[in-house]
Amino acid sequence: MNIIKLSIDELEPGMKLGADAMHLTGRILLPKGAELTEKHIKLFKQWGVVEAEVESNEAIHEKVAVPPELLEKEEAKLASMMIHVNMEHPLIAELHRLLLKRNIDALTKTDIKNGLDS
Amino acid sequence: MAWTAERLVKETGSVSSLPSVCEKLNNAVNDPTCSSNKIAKIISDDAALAARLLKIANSALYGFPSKIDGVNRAVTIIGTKQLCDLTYATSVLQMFKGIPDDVVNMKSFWLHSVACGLIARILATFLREKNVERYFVAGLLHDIGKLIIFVKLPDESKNIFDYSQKNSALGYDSENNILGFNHAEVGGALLKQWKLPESTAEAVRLHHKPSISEQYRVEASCVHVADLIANSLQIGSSGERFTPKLDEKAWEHLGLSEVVLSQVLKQFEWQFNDVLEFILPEGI
Repeated sequence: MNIIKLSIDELEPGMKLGADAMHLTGRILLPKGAELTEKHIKLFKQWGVVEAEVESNEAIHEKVAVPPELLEKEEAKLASMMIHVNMEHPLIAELHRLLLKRNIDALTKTDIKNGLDS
Repeated sequence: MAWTAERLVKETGSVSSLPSVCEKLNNAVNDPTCSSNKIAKIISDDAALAARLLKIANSALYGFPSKIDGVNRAVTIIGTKQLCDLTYATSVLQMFKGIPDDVVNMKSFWLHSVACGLIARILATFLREKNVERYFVAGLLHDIGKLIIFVKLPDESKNIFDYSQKNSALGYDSENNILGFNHAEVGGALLKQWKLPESTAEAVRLHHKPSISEQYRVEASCVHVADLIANSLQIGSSGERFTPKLDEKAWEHLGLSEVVLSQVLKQFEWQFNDVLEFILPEGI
């Protein structure tokens, strides 16, 4: 069982906390091991929690299989744009992850739409 | 005589001063004895400005449940300092309306600028800054120096473009190479001449190396990171095709975790189109 850090949007009811969920001030909102409910996630949002560590069995992250050619193409595009930045930096790595997801989402959505139109 | 950022700005003629309402408003806002009624009066006297500010007040930027239909109410709800900053934003946008499309694609330029302003504003809300509009204005105007360079130095602009193509160089580095100065310095000098708040001018001047700012490091760092994100999103463009370098010390200075990024982008997608519609001058 791995512990992974997820942003508040990726949390889902039923996930188990892998570490105490804390408020910005360091106060514990929910202890390690607790199982998340809808209500917890809503409360986290209200209290300004932006991330939490949860137990994972990998499956959570890679829900949708993306065709490898598409992934490769989009990765190459981003790589050519990001030649001047340090990809190891946490902010850049996160930006890269989100951009890749965003661009692929946009492409697959249009595909579905085009499919429906034709 | 060689060009410098300051000289370029001094000779920029038609854009060398902002409408007088900006200065009037700024003086009133900084005068502790001035009432909010008086401030509302200054805005109302300029009907076009009042209309533009009300449009912004009713946009997704604020998301108020009911319609704000009077300047008085906007002053109470949004705040005098905030309205003053928004006045700068919309006045500057109006001034750059007439640039022909073959010099620079203005639509694309403002798309990038609004994106950067909005992201800087969202970052500022995460930092719990009091006046987030100041960040919005700094982000919106961060590349304004590029417009001056495009208009005043067309030949050099072409050389800068060629240099960056040939060497896969960043626009900022190419400018330094060809001109000996860059658009951030030009923008900073312009905003200083226009008497915009010092923090705004400094954030623009140092948006490529914010960590050297002494007084306004948070402002400059926010704009810096926002510019990096806006460029990477490839929404519009001010002529840069690469993600600009990250000033790592600046990001550290903001003290934010990288996981806020997904929240920032989500808020951005939610507000962007609405804000765009309200902030861009008609005809762009």
